Amino acid sequence: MRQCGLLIILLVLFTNVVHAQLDGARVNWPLPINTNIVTATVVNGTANASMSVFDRVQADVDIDSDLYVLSYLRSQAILGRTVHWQALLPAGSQSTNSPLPLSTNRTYADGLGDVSIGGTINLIGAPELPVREALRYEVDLNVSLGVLVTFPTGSYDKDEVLNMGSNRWSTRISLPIVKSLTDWVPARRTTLEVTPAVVFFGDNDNSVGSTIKQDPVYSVEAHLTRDMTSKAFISLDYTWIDGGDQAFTDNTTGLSAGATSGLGAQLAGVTLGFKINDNLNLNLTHMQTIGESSDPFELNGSLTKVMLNWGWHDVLEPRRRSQGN
Amino acid sequence: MTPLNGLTAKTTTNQRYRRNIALVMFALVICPAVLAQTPDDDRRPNFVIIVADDLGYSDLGSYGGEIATPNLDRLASEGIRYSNFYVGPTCSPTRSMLMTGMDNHRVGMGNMYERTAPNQMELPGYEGVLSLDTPTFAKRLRDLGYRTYMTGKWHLGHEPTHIPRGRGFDRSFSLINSGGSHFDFNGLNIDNEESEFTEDGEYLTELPKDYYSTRTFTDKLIEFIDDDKEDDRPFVAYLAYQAPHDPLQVPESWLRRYKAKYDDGWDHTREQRLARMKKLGLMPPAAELAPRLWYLPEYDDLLGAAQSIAARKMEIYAAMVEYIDFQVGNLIDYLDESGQLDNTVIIFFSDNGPEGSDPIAAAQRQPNLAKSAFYSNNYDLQFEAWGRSYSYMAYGPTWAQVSATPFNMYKGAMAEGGIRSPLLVWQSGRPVPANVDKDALLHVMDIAPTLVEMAGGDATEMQGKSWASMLRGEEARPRDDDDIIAMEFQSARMIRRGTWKATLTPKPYGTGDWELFNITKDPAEQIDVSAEHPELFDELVTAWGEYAAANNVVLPDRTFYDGMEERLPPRPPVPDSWPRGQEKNWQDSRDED
Repeated sequence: MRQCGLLIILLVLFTNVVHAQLDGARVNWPLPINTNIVTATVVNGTANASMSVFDRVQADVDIDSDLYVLSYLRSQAILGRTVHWQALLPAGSQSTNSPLPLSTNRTYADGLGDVSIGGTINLIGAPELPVREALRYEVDLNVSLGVLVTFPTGSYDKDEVLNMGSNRWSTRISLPIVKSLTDWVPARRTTLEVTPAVVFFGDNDNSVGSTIKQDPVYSVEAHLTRDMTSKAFISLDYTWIDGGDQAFTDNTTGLSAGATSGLGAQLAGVTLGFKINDNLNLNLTHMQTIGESSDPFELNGSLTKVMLNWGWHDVLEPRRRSQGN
Repeated sequence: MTPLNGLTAKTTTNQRYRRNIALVMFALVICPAVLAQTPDDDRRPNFVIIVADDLGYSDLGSYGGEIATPNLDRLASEGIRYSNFYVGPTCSPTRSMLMTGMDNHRVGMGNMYERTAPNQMELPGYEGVLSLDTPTFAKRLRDLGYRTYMTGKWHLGHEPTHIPRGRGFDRSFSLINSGGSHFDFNGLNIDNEESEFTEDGEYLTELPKDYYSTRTFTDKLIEFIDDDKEDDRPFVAYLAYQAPHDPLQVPESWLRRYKAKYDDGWDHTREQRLARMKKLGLMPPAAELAPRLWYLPEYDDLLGAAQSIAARKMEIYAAMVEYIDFQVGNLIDYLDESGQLDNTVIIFFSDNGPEGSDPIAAAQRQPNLAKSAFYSNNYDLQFEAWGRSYSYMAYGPTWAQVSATPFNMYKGAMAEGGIRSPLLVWQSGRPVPANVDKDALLHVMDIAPTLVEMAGGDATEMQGKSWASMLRGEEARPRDDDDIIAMEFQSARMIRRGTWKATLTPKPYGTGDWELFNITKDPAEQIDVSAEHPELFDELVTAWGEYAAANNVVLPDRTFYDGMEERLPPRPPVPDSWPRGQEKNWQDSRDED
């Protein structure tokens, strides 16, 4: 069962992106209330992990993921603070170049992933921001609290290891921090963004005949971003992930069917962001695991993400249309 | 011993004779200084002349403004604030009159050098620099034994003979140009791409660390005075702030000082200021606001985002003004703590009305012109950058009208908004009969003769009227009801006599004809009463002609009014039923409906 659990970790890790569990650069900047953003994200990820099965078998597995995420975000004010509501719907496919232990013949899965819904409320630095306040708002130090709940709605086959859905609930709690290091002026902004987060998992009560319990996964995500022009930025990205020990219980016997230790991984990468027009933004990200370790459970992989945001404001958009600009 | 004594006596007589000759020669050689330093040397006052650049009449708290100016307000409450003080409508004409006590048309500043008209070129009085033929008050006071200091904006010529060192100031640190960045050498416009600075006659290639105009000018002045604090001679210190002239910039920590303070907009702010001015006794109870210029929007008609952007301009401006006050406080504290405030006269005023033109808005309308590109190439024009060291922003006509409350127009105009300035006069230890003086009709030309007379010199050849007797409490005012004040700039004309003012303002801001106002009752110049007082009207117009003839006024054949009527929206039509002479009121009445 261990390989099954590790695969799930891997999938969680890479589908974290899909589930907004790795936020990305400049996604936690406060927005004016009544702003709407629809985001289409395409992620291609490849994980190459050493796996040991029952401490006896070790095999290499490559899992390719092509994921598409549609998300919607809306900003509102609650208790005088800026709140961002968010819903995400992933879909896509995953495949592996070799049969997975314990699985049937399935080396390919596609369909919808798990839906996530959540919100982020600002604690420090960003009171509610009507347009007129947002215009003169300058980030100094922003601290927010985010909660994202993922529902087991995705396609899932209990007899397969490779699935788009996870067959369990999870809740991510994060504390996005944005610190401006320079004047808050387009083309001059530099920020340091750090997001510590923890993901709590419910049980997957049936994965190839076992129940999987998983300890929380901890992560710290950091971005050093800098405007290149008023309409483009670059970000150096870094993520550390750890935790997530898994225990497997055979559903038939009720006995332990094995366990995996936690997964320590570091990823580094670069993001380029472009403001195409007043509505449209494009972000390109590439990240890959870094560091070498003798740990056979070390994760090795990379991902490339293309994110297209279409944003509009309830009040400003009709005005812009009426003015033709 | 007798011969010896006799010889000795003779020798002594010869020695005395030679010594007396030497003393006489010595006295003749250094005559002015010797005469000036006796016998009242110890009692002659120090003078501190502080000039703000483009500050409006109502910006100070003591003049009805909501901007926090506690140090200047203290000068006002312990001294006198004058409500009828006139300056030139623009910078260098005012400064030339301040320096010389003479009409600007006589001393090289008949026009600003930037605006000299073709028919004024090469004419005496229109050189665009302060004439070397006329001594400045600094030269006169130095000759009278004063130490002379100048820091700040000069704008009276940039050749070595024309800069402060050449014009009578012992020590100086000056911005030579009309303006520019408040933080560095970045210039004001394409004609002044890089600012010039001098210190004690040397042209600078580097500015002091942490240079910000208001702070550095104050610090330098304190440094100069402090360097000579052991010197027993009195001093005159001319502190010419560049603020709040655009670009509107303040130190980072002051950027958000007035955040959201102007969200009620210009119309409301003007009303509040006028109400306070009435309470302070600066305006009569019946005074009304000049209407908002016909082409400017009502603030409440703007959408919220536009209001935020518009209000941000005034927020920065207000912070600049408060920063001036803060630095004036530093200067006063220094003088007080160093024991030099006693026997000091402090005079504070603005060089002209608030600046209503917005070069950035104009540039953004014509982005392909080189003069427009200057701004985008040298400054960050984004809203988010406003107020910072690398930005350029001007607050434009809507807020300029606030600064000029309750008057009509702003800098450049001969309406009161362009030429009426706050004036604070503070004298150590002198009791004041009243905090507000509404009777004295004063002019910037008066300051030089005032200083010279109070320093013990002769100022009779100057055109300005000395305030020395008024400040000593010996007379109420330097001008009686028959004396006039007259000026000309860019073909706009004014003459004031007593309570009456005749003005000619070119179209489209005026009618292009002379108008007559009872300026005491109608400070906003809205009701033309020339038809009711034809003889008085003719007298004033004639008197202005005599002033022009006597003062070398050559009306320009090109002015900034040219073509303006075509560029601006037409004035709204006034119905026939509307009272004649009150056409300018029509806009406001229509808004209220």
